[in-house]
Parts: sequence; C-alpha cells; structure tokens
Amino acid sequence: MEAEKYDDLWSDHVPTDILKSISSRLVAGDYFVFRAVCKAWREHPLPPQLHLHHDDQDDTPSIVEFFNPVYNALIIPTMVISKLKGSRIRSSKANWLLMSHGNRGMFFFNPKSNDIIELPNLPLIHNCFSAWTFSCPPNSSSSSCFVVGFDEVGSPPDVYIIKVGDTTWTYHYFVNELRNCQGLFSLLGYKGTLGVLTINENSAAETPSWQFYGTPFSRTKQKSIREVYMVEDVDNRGMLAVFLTHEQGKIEVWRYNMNGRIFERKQITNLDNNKTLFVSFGGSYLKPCVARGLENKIYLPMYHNKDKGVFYCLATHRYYSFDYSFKKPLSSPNYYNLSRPRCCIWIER
Amino acid sequence: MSSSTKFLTLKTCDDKKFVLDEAIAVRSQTIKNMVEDDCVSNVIPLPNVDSKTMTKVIEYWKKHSEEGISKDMLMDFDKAFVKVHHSILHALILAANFLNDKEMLDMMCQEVVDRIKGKTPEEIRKEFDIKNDFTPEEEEEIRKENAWAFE
Repeated sequence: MEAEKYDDLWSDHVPTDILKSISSRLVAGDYFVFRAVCKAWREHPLPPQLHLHHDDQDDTPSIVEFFNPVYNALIIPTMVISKLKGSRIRSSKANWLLMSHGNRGMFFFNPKSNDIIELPNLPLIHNCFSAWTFSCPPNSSSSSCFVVGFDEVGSPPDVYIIKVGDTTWTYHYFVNELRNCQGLFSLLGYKGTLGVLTINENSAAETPSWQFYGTPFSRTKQKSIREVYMVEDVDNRGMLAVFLTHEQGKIEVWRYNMNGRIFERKQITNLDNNKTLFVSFGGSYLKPCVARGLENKIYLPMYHNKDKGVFYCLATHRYYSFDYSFKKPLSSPNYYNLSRPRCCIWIER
Repeated sequence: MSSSTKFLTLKTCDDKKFVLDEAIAVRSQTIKNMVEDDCVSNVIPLPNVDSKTMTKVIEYWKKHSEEGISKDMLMDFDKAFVKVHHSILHALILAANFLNDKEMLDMMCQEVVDRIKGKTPEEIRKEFDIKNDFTPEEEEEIRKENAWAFE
C-alpha cells in the first residue's frame, strides 16, 4: 500500500532540532495537541519562546511585571520608572493605565511607550474612592477623555470627575435624588442591576445623571456573589457581567442589553463560541479567541504555581492552567490555592 | 558579469548531476562554506538529497534569485511551492536542513506548523501518516492533563 510506506516519516525521521523548531511555534492548545500526536513528538518538544530582553544579572525587585497569557510568561522590563513605585493601578483602557499615587496623586501611564500624563491632585484628604474609570485614551484627539472616581457608599454613588486638560476635579454628590435606586453593578455589583452615568454638556462641571436599569437579583443570589467584573461586548452592543460565586467558585456570565428603551438581561453559556474573556478589576476585555483551546474561556487575575495563568471553562465549569514545562497543570472545580498578584490589571498589547 | 560566472556541479545521492551558477548555489550555507574553504574540486556530492528533491530546491533558489521579481510574486510562488504531499515536504525539510538554507527551512517548518494548527491529534496523524504509538491508557492520560485543549 502506498500510504504504508510513509507511516514513520514524520515520527522517526525528523531531526530533533526540526521538531523543536516546529513545536516552538505552537502556542496553547496547539502545543499540547502536538505533544499528543506520537511518542517522538512528545519526547523533545521545545515550548514557544518569548524573546525576553532583560538583564539576568540584575536582581533588584521589579516594580512592574508583564504577564503574557498565551506564552504563559512573565516579562520584566529593564527600564525602571521610579514614579510607579508605591502607585496603584486603578483602571486600564487599550494601552493606558490610570494610576493613583499616595492619597491624592492621579496620573496616566502607558506601559508600551512609558509615557506619563499627569492629572491634577485630588482635593481629597484620603482617596477612599474604590472604583475608577476613564472614557477613552487620554491622548485621544477625537474625543475628550473623562476620568471618573466612584464612591464606595451612597446610592447613587458620589463621583469625582475631571476632563483631561482641566485644572481641577469636580465632586458631584447625590442626595436622595433617586429613592428607588438599586445600586450600580460595576461597583456594588451583587445586586445585578445596571447603573449608567451620563456626563452632560461634555463638561466635568455639569452635574452628570444616573440611570438605573433592571430589578435586583434575589437575596440568596446576591449573597452567593463574591466578585463582579464588567466588560463591553461590542459585537452584541451590550455589556457582559461576570459573577464569581462563593459556591465552589462557579462563574456566571450575563449579557446586559438595551433593546431600544427596554433593558434585557440574560445568562449566557458561551462567548459567541469563539471568544476569550479577560477579567480584572478596572479593566476587562472580550477578545476574539487568542489561541487554540482558549475559546469560551475566562482568564482571571489569578496565578497557579506562582506564575501560571488561570482560566475558567464555561463548558466544564472548571479552572485550568497550563505549563509548557512538565509541571502538573491545574484542573479544578474551584479556585482554592490560587494566588493573586498584589495589584494587577489586563492591558492590550 | 557573464565572463565571471562560475558554475558548480552538484551530484545527488541517486547520481544525477546538476550544473548551477555558483551565485545561486551559495544560498546553501553548506555549499558556500565548501566554496570558501576551497574544497570544491569539480563535483560537490550531496549524499543526503535525491534528484527529485534537488530539482525542487533549485526551482526555489532560482525563483528567489531572479532579478527584479516583486515581493508579491515571490509570496505567490512560495504559497504554491509548499502545497505538496507531506512526503515531499519532509524531503525538502531534510534537504534544506542539510544544505543549511535557513530561509527555506523556516518556510517549510512554518508550512508544517500551519498544517498542524487547529487540528485534533487524530487529524494530524492522518495529515502526516503518523502511527499512533500511545496505548489507549497513555492517550487518555495525556488528554486528561490538558483536557481544555482537546475539547
């Protein structure tokens, strides 16, 4: 038979270096499938390599580390930006990070270009605002960038707003304006309702307006929610709310849509079948599947074995990690024994 | 130029001879080293390459040495060039490896990568006529370890 004659060509007659060159170009699922083809392909694979340019001699603790989920690798930049020391990441959008420093300092940092855009100091004595966000990249030429901080308490929550370029922050407080306000899911989260803050007249000084949608989840459900993440779902013109629950850490994803003036909320069981979701406080992203095997997976701000990325599978309801070396990866129904970086956020490359 | 053109004779393992412009043949680092070390007397033996494969290699070298050829034309050529049966792909990879032509080797390895991507282990075995030499237990263990990748 013609076919018979080739049956060991690719398993037994390929130099190891060539097999390595092939395997090193395969990431995530493709890499593990490669290793499952035959013994020879399993034996000497070379994991995909990120070309790191850092000084191995230098063992001073780094201020910033980058984690690439596909290569499952930490990247430690050589350049040290002293301003970042002691700063906290508050929010991310595209390449930009909104950072706070001390009690009053706020600034933007672009980890790609190392650019910093300063913001005026907050008039607060102590920055107790728990959630921050911004409307677009601060150097955007097409639209004004607004930075908003939300107070932890109050319904609706009080806000601090500045338009990038303004010299002072404006504080807006809301007293009993909305008696039946159900809270804001991005902040209070556990109620499952949606709060929308609209900035008026393209000005931070104008009083913004709150709108609330939806009915709260049942009390039992509210109690079961441990963490909430929110992400824009551009393709479906809505938002996704990701609820991490206490019960063994099961994750639920709900889609929030405005259908005309009607608010719709429903639980979904996959991410359009071909997307990967990255969630972290202050910055979450829904992306076309980043690598084979990572569709319908949710990457969390967690590590397994100190530096291996962790993702949740919506089909199997399990937490996984992978390891290109031979260490045992994670496969668990819960998130026990996983670590969290002290201050972290997803950014776009 | 024409007066100084030097030709090399390459002899494949099946005793076929190829006469080739030296400027083209030195795309092979192996041949280039031999030329530079002056150990080329008359015929360069290529004990690891057969004539069928060498014909393809020379076709590639000539195309890539053409003067004034556009990037797009080369891309189209390369695209068609790699669309061959896996046994030819295999022979070309071994030849490129022996001749030490990094550019060609890189392109052929990338083609293998592209044929692997997105497929299941079973589909890959079919594509490359590979025998599954795992026991069912071993295979089960391997799949279990990274179950998410095999969904």
